[in-house]
Amino acid sequence: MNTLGGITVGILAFVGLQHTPLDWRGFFVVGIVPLVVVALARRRMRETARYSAVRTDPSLGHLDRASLLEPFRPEYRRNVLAVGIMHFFRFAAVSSGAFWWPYYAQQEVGMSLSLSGLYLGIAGLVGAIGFVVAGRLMERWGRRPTFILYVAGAAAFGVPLFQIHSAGPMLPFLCLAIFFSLGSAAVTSAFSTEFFPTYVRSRAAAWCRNAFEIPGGIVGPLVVGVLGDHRTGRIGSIGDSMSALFIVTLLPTLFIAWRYIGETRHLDLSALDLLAEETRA
Amino acid sequence: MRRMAATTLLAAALLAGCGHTDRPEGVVERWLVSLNQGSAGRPDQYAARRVSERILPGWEECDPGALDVIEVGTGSTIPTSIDVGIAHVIPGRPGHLALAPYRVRYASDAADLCGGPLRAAGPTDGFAELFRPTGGEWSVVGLQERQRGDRSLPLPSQGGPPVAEAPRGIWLFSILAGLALCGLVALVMVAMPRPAPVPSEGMDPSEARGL
Repeated sequence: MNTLGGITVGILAFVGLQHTPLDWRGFFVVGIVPLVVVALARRRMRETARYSAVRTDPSLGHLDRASLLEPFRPEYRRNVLAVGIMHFFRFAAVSSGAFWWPYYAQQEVGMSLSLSGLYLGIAGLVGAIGFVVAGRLMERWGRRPTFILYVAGAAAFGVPLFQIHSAGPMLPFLCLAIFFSLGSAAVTSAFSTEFFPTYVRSRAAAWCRNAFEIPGGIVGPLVVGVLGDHRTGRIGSIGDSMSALFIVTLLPTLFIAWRYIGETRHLDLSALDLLAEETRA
Repeated sequence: MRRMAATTLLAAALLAGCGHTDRPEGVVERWLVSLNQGSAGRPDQYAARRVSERILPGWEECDPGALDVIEVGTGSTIPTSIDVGIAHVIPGRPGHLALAPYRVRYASDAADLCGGPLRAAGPTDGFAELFRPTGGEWSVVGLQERQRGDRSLPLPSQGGPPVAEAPRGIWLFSILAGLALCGLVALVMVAMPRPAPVPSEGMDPSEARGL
């Protein structure tokens, strides 16, 4: 849905929403529509059985464990850290690539603003296919092998992408780099939720995203910008800095996936909930 | 203690990457990018107003994006094939001179963005003249047009070198840094308690109550 939202914005820009009297502010006005839909649709969402039970039966008060730090209990801590650190490194690479590619294409390759925008639109559509394919593969092959394949693919196409200095060969590399980079997010979504029983799942996912993934999305582009700045950067090239960052961050991402992430395909989440209760008991 | 030492090493490596350099080509690029921001830009930080006006007259009235292409190449050395003569711009002031090739192309809707037809007088393919007074910073002081057939200081899109390139050892360093991070992760993980087991076999859904 995230990608679909981005594509929708691109379509709105293509049809010329920015040329209305509201100018660029028109996008913010249109942004109200999904907010209204969410506000109305949430009324039809069901509560979990655990929440309903705790609310209706005071004797189940021991199930009411609402601490923000619950995912860091000893039985979950290692999984939260493994998934979280993996999120950090993966997103540092992906967000840097997404942030710096237009700059690289325009300033270091000499592409026009309009051509780089067209490339990004095409590659965004291919990236959305990467999501769908990853979803199918993780059910067929398993989460871990799919993720390792996607991260290896992101490295295989992402590192050369920022070494290409002509517009022609760049498009297939850009499409495949986005296919694998963004597609791997489908698998990390499974990792950040499926290791944890229902009552703590959303908090674990929130920790993985907010404490690890988002900082990765800040640190990655910052490091590339500092190193690759054409005026003051030690490397002085965004392309070389990006390629180096891909290598530095995707190696530990692959290492964590190989060494510390378990397979959750065919996992029965209800059984996980029961097991969590048994472990606690 | 070990974690702190590793973190310190990592921070030191990152800080070492922040060593200060000052490339004149970077100033030209920042100037053109800032100029391309139109009324939101601050090109005066990098060039005299009369120079900015040559590329984008009335830039203060423009919306962003009037320049569709901005490209700057390596040019810190001045080849003899170019009649530089920048000294006329800075008479008698001690400092350094540089020349950087650049290329701009106007967007197809530049006239709309700037509220009227553009009457640019500056070269769209040429060389920016830069001056850095002793103890000061680079600034663009003039523009030269690239003569027809002049292949000196080619831009990256013309087969020239990029503004800067990473040292050769960067790839080996990157692999070593990645492996060091793997080691750091292993150190963190070894200190963690064993995780709760994950059931991989399905169970009867009637036994599960979403607890």
